[in-house]
Amino acid sequence: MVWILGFQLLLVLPFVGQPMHMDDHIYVDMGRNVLETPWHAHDFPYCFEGVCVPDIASHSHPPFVSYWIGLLMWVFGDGGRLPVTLHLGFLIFPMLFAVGMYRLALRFSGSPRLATLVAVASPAATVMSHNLMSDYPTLAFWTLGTALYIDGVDRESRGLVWGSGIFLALAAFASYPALAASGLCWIYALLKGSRMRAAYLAPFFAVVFMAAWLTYSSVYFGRFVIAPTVGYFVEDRASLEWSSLIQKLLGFLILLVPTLAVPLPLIRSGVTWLGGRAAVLWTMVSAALTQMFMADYALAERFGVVFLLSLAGWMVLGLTPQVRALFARPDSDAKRQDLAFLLAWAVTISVIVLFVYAVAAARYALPLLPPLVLLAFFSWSSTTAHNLRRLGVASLSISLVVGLALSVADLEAARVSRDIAHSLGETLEGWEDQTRFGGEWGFRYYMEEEGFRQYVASSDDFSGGQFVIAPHQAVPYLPGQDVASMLVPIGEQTAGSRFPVRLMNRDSHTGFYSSGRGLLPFWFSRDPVEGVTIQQVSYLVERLPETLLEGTRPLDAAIPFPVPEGGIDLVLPVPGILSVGFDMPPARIQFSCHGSNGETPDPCPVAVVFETDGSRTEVPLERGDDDTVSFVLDQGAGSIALELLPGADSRQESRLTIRNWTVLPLGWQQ
Amino acid sequence: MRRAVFIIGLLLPLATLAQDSPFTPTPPSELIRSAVSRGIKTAEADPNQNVFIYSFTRGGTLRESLVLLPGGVFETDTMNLPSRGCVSVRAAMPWNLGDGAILSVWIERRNQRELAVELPLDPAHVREHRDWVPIRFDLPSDPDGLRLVFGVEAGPRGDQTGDWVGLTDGNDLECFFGTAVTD
Repeated sequence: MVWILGFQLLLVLPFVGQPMHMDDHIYVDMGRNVLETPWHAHDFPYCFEGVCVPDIASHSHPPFVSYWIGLLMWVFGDGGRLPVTLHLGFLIFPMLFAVGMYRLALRFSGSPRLATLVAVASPAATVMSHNLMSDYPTLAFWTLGTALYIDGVDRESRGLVWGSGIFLALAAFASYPALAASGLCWIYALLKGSRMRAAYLAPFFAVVFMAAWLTYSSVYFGRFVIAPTVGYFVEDRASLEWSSLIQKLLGFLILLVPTLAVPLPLIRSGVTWLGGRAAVLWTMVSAALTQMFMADYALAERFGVVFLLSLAGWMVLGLTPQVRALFARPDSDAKRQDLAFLLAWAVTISVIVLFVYAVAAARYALPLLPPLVLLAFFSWSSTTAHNLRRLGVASLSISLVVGLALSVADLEAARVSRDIAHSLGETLEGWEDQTRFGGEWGFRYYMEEEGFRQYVASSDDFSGGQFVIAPHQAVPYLPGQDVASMLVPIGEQTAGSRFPVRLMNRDSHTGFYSSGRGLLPFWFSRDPVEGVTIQQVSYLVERLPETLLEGTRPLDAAIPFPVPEGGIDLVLPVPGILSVGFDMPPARIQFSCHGSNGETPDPCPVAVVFETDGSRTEVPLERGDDDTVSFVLDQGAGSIALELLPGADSRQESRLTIRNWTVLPLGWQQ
Repeated sequence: MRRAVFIIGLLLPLATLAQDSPFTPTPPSELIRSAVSRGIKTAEADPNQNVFIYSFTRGGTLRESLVLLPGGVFETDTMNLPSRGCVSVRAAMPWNLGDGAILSVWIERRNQRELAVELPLDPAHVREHRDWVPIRFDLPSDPDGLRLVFGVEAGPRGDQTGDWVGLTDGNDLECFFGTAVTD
């Protein structure tokens, strides 16, 4: 057991420095609130994906992880080392899982050490053990709770059974669907015909505990807190519609092998069943399904989908001859009961993933890991110990390679998000108040660390000159259409990784954390890991109500129009003088000029005068390589007067278009 | 005793269902109900129409609204008085572009139209128009009933860029189309 724990530590320790990633920041924010209102962890307003709620009580998970993070912060403090502190504090969960898995493997498996190692080395579990979400703690409590319960029923030990009740309650307190573990325990007790009253009462502790907590929470918040949660999944995310169910089913099958586990004994059984004909037929079905539902994927990606779907199907097929053989034997009641329990566990999780969650994701399937591995290493009569060991070693080797690769890819994604935020922090130093962002995941955590402010989709508190930054992958959202109509493009930045594996990337159709991104749990790609699109609220258009237009004819006005390629044209009457106040940090103003017929006049027929403290200064214009014109303002607050000069041509332009007036920090590099 | 705990533990959460839930659907706008009853569809359902239902944000508030494009006209059903003697709506344009538009509201009774409101809206140049602008006007009493006609035309320079005018319920409960709209 000790060296199994050591092996588990080896898979987790190298990643304790992983930056905040995915939904870690939500749990950290909840953990911080636990320190403020410990009796009501969810009682604080929160904004997510551009929408704000007055409290987070209807969050998709109960607050165990929030309390754990709060406890770690209370003991070890907040600050720059927080990611390391929290990751070290989460080491306990992989340890608990390893202990629980080993106890289950001793009970059900023909090769307990190998089965435990294969489960511990599960690529999905390995990746999830490196972040701070609730999925791994749920897996740990569920597995250990079930293991203790089974031991307790087998040995008629009330102590073990009641002890399991505590872990089952903790599992439910980390994830609502984990209440199903109590039901599975009852199934085990019924199958074994247990007469121990504790066997039926102990799992009930989780139900009573969650009922009491839901009652307490609902009375406090004045509503049944889980109702909006259910409504969100069923109505907002349409999780029970046919299209969603099909997507989840395909995503679920595709992530089973090798992402969740590498059950080679079952795969081998499936491939050889009926002389291989069933396996070949399933592969053909997989190809048809791939072409039907993923025809827009690249050819290589489609081959990947067919391969992964085939593996999943072979694994399921592999159960069939084994189960039939076992049920045909007259003297294997106990084994049949064990098998029925493991199958019930596997089916329950599969149903939960398909019908409870909005998308398929490797983390949602984690509770399927123990029964899947136990079924693969079950004491089938048709499998010799030698073959089981050989296949077990191969499963373990493949799991380690895949798990390490996915973990490195995940670490790279976390690192890139942090580095992008830091890079923006350096570029926009002093402009924090002028910078807003709309995104989530680690990107949000580190952008907030840099002092930038998140906007919500309905925000109307933007001012001219503010940067609007949206990530490409980390759940981007734009402000409302009113603000969006004033945005001018600044540029894009992308960041890649030399490691050619992607887990969550729309371009490569990978959705390890959510099949909504793509049905592949991972794929080989050199697409950028993350990027940002930087736009700016047009200073001139946002301030148009306060601008002054002089020296023009009646009905003349500065009229903003959208540019088809992106940005804003401000059409101005010539001659005229447009005056607007300026109160931003020292900046370079940049724009391009266009005449009535669309051509770019050279020089741009404008003169810029800056007024401050009673003095008027003509500001020299510089011409850029890309036909843009720019000038520098570094004299503090004042007023810009844009003099629109009549052209030298006797026809005289009556209109001049100023395109994409942007205000950039001095030293801004495109 | 244990049975009692069991029953209480299960029933209490159910009891909280009786309390108000924030998941109560927002009551549909009276104006939108009227539009739907006249066959008006959403923009997605029929992109070629010049009167449609569309939700947009103004003043930090997302509202479902009846949108009219230049040339678009919306006529209400006959409104029987004297149940309510006024009209309360809000109007806004989604984008800060173009030279604005003009919203006109006529009262039609006995086949004659009388202009009740002519409101220029120009969110690009008027900061107060970057919000839902309240409109309220009284209705004449007429035993035969009357109907309202809403129409939009382009702004003073004839440019139609961004000339969408959205109408939603106002906040005067005593008036037609007035509902308890929360900001």
